[in-house]
Amino acid sequence: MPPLLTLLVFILVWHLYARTGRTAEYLLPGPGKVLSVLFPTPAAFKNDAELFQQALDQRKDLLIALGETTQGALAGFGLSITVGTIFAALLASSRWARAALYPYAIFFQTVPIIAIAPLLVIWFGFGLRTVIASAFIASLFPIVANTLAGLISTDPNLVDLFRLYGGTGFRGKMLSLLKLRVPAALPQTFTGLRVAGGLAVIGAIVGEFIGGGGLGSIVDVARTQQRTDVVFAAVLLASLLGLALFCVLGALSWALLRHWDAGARAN
Amino acid sequence: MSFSASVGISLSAVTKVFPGGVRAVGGAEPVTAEIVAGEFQIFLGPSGCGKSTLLRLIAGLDVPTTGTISLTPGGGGKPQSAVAGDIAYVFQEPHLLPWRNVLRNAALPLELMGVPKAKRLEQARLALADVGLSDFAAAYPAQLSGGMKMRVSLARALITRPKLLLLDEPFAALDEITRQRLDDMLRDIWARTGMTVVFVTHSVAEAVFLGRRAWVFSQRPARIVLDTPIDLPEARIPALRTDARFAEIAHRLSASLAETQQGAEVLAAHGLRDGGVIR
Repeated sequence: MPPLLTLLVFILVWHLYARTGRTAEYLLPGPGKVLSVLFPTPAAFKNDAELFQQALDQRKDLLIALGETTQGALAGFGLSITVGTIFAALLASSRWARAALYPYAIFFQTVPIIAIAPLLVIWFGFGLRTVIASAFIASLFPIVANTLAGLISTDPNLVDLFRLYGGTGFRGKMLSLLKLRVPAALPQTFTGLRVAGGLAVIGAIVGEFIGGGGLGSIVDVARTQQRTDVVFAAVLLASLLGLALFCVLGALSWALLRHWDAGARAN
Repeated sequence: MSFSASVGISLSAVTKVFPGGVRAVGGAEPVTAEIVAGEFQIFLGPSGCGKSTLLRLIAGLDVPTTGTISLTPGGGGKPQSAVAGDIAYVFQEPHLLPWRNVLRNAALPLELMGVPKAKRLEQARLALADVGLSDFAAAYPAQLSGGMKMRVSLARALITRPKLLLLDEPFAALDEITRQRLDDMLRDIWARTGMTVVFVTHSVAEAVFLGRRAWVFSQRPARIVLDTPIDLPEARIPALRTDARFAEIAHRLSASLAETQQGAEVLAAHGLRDGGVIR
């Protein structure tokens, strides 16, 4: 309830401020104007059939763009989950690999995605592949860092217990990985996934600014036409996408961890 | 529940030095001693003296720097090497897997040893009944009290019907009443099964109440400064705690502990607090 209340107050203040006309509408459209981009009604266009049709087309473009961005973000996110967890498992398995590779993973993370995006277009061309690559790069690091932290912080007494009964051979090591290290790392992995999900959406939109398609290019085009209401609508859809991803991950983590992890129960 | 056999432990000139030169067990005098099969052996010593390290060496979780530790079958005969399930280890904290319910936690050792599911869950139910937790098989560790978690930990240790049960200050973190209840339960299980038990503690009262033989350890590096039988009736009833014989043995152990403590203080006064570190 409290978050809804915050939202209502925010929209009300925004609405009241926009109505005063202190800031021109092409700079800051009111919430009603933004909403009519997403839900056009004939009345909002003073029953002008042509303008209304344009608004309907605009909305259709937005929804198609949302689909494209969702596709790019999810594909990039899926890729970074796969690569990230395997990479983290590799780093966790050997102190040597960790020392040799982890500093570069951190270095890689500090390079801003917006700076490499032009390079991605050169490598992958315009379109979805650049968007996926961008979403992948933006969301990889939190998954690696959190999964790694989870995998290497396993209770040493439990590691001993597994050695006592499972032995120290290959079979024992596999049992320890699958039945101890992986489940023990899950809460931290999910923390990483929740952060990474939002970053994947950001990465996808950055990729679209340069590689074209999706909400990113709608924002880019609307910006040049000074259609701030469309920009706002696109931004709203993008954040709803991020929020949906966050909620799905939250539900998944609750389902998996509700019996034991205090963090998962609190969410 | 009955166990096929118990094992004795033979320590021969054992020392343990950790990387960095920290001597944990047997410095100038390596530890040489015997624990007979079926014994309830107490390791009593000040905190951090190395008695837990010795327990880990016996469990095979770590290897001695010098010397050998061998297990000898109860009826006599050649030393044998332990197979999985022969030795059980109970930690200071319960260390359960929080994502598993009580039943599957208790069944873990058999699962790691490759015992089929139906068989291991059946065994787990029996082990839980032994520690009085039959009604909590489906509960998760987060729902249990500290004492109940420790009982699950005990059930997990007992499920393989070990010949040797090693406990490292297992009840130290529990309140007095719970601890006494678990002491009674452990003593009862030992009496029924006849397995060898090694129990590490820094509590004199717990040592005397539980054990049949006690070793008192010096400050680190651990060596045995007193080896004494605890001559009390086999039935360790609560009234024993106020018995004169109980008090006499407790006094002797305390005095021995105090000596090692004093020795350490003398060393500390001479700036040799880290007597265990090779410089």
